[in-house]
Amino acid sequence: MTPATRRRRSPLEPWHVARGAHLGERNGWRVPLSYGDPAAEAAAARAGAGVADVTASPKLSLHGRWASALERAAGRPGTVARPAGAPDTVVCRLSNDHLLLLALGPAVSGFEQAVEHLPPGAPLLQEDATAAHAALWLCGPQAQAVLARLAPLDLGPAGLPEGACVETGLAGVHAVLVRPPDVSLLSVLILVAPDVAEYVWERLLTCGVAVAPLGLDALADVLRP
Amino acid sequence: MTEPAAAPGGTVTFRFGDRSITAAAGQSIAAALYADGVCVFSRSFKYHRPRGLLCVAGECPNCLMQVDGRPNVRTCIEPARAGQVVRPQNVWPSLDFDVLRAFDHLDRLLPVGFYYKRFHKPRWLWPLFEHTVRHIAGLGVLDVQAPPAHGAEVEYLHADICVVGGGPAGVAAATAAARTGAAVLLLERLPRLGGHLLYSGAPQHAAALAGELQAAANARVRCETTVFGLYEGNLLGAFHGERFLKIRAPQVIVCTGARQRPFVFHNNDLPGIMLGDGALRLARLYGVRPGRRAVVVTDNPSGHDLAEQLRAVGVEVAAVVDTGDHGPKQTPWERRTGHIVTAAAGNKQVKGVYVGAREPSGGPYLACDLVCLAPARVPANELLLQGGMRFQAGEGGWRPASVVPGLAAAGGAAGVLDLEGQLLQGRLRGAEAAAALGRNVPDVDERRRAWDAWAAGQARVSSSAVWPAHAGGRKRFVCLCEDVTQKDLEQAVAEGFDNVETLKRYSTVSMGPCQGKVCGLTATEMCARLTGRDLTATGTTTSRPPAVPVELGVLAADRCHQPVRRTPLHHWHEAAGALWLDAGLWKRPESYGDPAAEVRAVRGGVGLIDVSTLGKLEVIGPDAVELLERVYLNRWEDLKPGRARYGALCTEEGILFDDGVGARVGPERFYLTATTGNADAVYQWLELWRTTWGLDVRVLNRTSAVAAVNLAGPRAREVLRGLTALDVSPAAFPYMAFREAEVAGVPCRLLRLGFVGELSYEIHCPAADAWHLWEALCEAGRPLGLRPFGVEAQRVLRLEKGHVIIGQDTDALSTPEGAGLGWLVRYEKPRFHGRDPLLRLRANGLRARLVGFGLPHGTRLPEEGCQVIEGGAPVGRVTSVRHSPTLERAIGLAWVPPARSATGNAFFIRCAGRDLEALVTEIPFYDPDGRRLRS
Repeated sequence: MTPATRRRRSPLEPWHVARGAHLGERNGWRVPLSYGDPAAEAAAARAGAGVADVTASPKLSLHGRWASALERAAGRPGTVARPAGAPDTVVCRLSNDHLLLLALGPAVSGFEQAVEHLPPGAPLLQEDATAAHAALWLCGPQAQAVLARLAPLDLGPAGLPEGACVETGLAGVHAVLVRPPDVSLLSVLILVAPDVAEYVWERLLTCGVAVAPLGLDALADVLRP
Repeated sequence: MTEPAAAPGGTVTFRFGDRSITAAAGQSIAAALYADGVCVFSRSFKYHRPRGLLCVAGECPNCLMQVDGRPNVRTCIEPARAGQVVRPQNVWPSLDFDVLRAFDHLDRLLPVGFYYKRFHKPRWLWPLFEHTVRHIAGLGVLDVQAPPAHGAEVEYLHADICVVGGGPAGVAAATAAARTGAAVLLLERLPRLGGHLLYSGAPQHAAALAGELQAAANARVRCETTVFGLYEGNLLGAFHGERFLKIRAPQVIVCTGARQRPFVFHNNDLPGIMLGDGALRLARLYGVRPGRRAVVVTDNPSGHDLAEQLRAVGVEVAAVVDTGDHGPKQTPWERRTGHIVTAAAGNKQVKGVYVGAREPSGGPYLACDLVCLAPARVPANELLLQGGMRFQAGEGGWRPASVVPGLAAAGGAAGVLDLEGQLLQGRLRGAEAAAALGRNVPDVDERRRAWDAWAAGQARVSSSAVWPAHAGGRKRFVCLCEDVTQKDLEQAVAEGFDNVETLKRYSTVSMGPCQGKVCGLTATEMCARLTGRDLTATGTTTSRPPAVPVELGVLAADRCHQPVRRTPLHHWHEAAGALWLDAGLWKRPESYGDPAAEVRAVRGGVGLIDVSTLGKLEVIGPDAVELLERVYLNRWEDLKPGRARYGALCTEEGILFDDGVGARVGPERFYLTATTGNADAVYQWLELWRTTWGLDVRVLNRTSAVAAVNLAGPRAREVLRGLTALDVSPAAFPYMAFREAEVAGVPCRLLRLGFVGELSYEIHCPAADAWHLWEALCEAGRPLGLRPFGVEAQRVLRLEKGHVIIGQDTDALSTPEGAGLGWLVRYEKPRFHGRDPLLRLRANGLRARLVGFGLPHGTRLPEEGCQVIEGGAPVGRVTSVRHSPTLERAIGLAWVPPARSATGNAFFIRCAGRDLEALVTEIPFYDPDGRRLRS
């Protein structure tokens, strides 16, 4: 018996389908392109806040004990860097010996270049972490007001400036928050365990500040420089 | 009537009993009622005396009503809204005529602490008394039938400096701090900034101050935000409507102002007797004239000012009764200097006061419909006290007497009652807070000098609510919430409760809704007077949050949302009609409708269960073996790569903690499972000991990232064979083996295990691939009758095998030996958690043993948790019991005394009052030699 083609699923796919999302294919994942009116979604995000499911964007986790070398490469823990040669990748230094590489777009490429630019010394462990985290891209001028409803940590401009990342509690679950540098609309990338993705997604949409679900088309639109 | 200051046009209509009341927009409910002629707003707690408006600041208990079903709403500050339904509370039959007012005449029978003294004999009457007292006392009624409101939200706020209170001191502090560049957050209870300026006749001044603050960058202002608590680490709890605010700031400046409290005289609680500030608030914040003809009672210069203010809002001032001789001698009103009020006259509304130079009641009578009290104000310092600041009573009242890093007070809250002083002190505290944060504040010394110079030149005003002498009368109320009188306090002190803390607990003074705002310091003064101590030595009672009443729904705001963990297959199960089971935060399919059929499918064909909730840990590094050897009971060193083993671990006390299967992926790499409930705990346990021992090993928690399914049943191999290139023959992939291979194109880890007692493959894959894998397995198994099964079927299947579930069959006293897992413990290991206690236990013998048992056919199933009985006493308990569809009889596991644990022994289970006979049975009940799971 020949198995059907392997297709990977975001934990939010049932939510997208139930809301009538137009789905597309990226890297073997089915992704929500829009919920019917990408222009309206983009406008809502620009005016207030929007959130998109970007779980399909590749992630790479590097564990190792090469702290001193990493310091040079990625700054101190809690910082986000854009490595040379991989413009769509950010390197988040979560701790002294844990790096998370995130593709900001759906492209798979970029990690090899990023890893090449890391200092010598083989990491203990290098693994694809794409499915290990659900990734929610929260953006818009109200993004920080949204986070202030869900996280006890100061995630305003002082607490989570551009180019910073932090591990915190969000709506009662563990989350990694990343503020990617050099994006055109204030954005916070929220990484949570896949099993709580739907819960966190719904908390974002009902937090008391209006948050619009964005398809990837609208997200690309609002992030266009 | 003057125009409402806060109401630019528009009216709203609400219901009060059977009346329809019209309020100006922005008016409070109580103000609208007062304007409509209502003077009785509530009945008192104990004597059901009529009570009217007193503070108009939400601080006293007098205006509490039921609004739209919400009990105990402070109507004097609650905005009137269209369509509201307002009802009085705890009155019968009506607010104007309350039968229980009869208690007012029985006060001799209800002395202080009467509930400690009465009702003890005869004892059998106590339930009746309890019921009656509970019915009579109390406040509003919570509608327990009402659907829970889920409107409450939480918001977290952060600032460098948080200023509580938007009066002149608060605004000055915030402005000074914000000008240094610090991020400032100002919280104000009212809709507008200005504090006392808004009702003391200087609204322009308030607007100018607010304008200055607005011009300063970095300052955020949150109005209609009430702070109720200051907690450790400068965490402020506040609410805005139904929103619960949690605010953190390294520097907190409390500018909550000062307040008046009633003088103590006979009938001082009559409606129409108001605090001077309350009367002015009513007039200037809500546009309602507080009365026609007023008598002002004072002991300091502020009485004269109050009289002038009252005239300005259209109230005729009949007289100022002054215990001393303050203010100008020539006034348009009568001055009664050196006089006190001996009693107030009236029934449901004050009609006049008797005054005298400390003479018995019956002295000169002054007719009026409003009595305004103007004692010197005392600090509203609850938050400061909660923050650890101490106050001392001295010349001029209570002042801060200690320094708390990160906490400051300014204005009335610090005992400064003069506007100029409030502004100077506010600016100084703002600058000091910024300087404490390391900001460059060049003018801080200059501000300090300005403040010091002002403070040195001030005449101190002090005041006491308790006059040196009084003219008798029993209704001299100290505590309005709990109806505690001066006489009650005198008696309590005479009975030996002469410490403020014990006096409070015995008399219940300050234990009501106002939490001592009205009565706390008066009780201290009275206690000091009665015991001959000074005020500082007498002290005040401890201030604890909440400083103002908070609805429980607000506090529970972030408890309304519990995280939900869903496996990647959640929506597949839902579509398949799963019945859900909550397993911690996880949702698991308990069954798909027919657990017995699911059991039979696994025993006779093949079944598939989602076990993604299992803990999944990866242990990697040169010291991986060492860590596991020290933490687990069993050996890992001799486990070969590609093999798996059952393992369990104990706490250091030798108590069973968790179990699971571990597979050796490589020489320095293990993949372990933990139970659903303990996944995070085991991960943290391994992390703790890895760090403590400094081992070169990394522990990764894969629980969420990796999904797992268990394909089980005699035909499982046939299903799997079609989906993978892996050789799944018994010889190539035997029982307790571990393999990595693609299944349906998905990279998987496969474990051949036997939890359910059949040939089974536990297949682990990335969470994102689980749906595809599951559907591929279902598709491949369809011709073989594959059936998904839930947790209930799994429980039955494992019980037939006699497998223990940690947490269900074990508790906080269970040891491996007792639970039948003694075979697992490798005492030859030099060290592992629990080794020494377990060795001692082995020497001392067991207290209980977990055994399998069977019940005769036709016996009703006892519930899990039923007691095992011997000689009428409980000696053990049933942990698991099910009807086995395979064996067609009831089986279970129970803890029994070792003497009863031999196979064939009978013991008794008490179930619903009957004792059922059970027989100790050899486990496993099913396939005892394990041939099926090894097949």
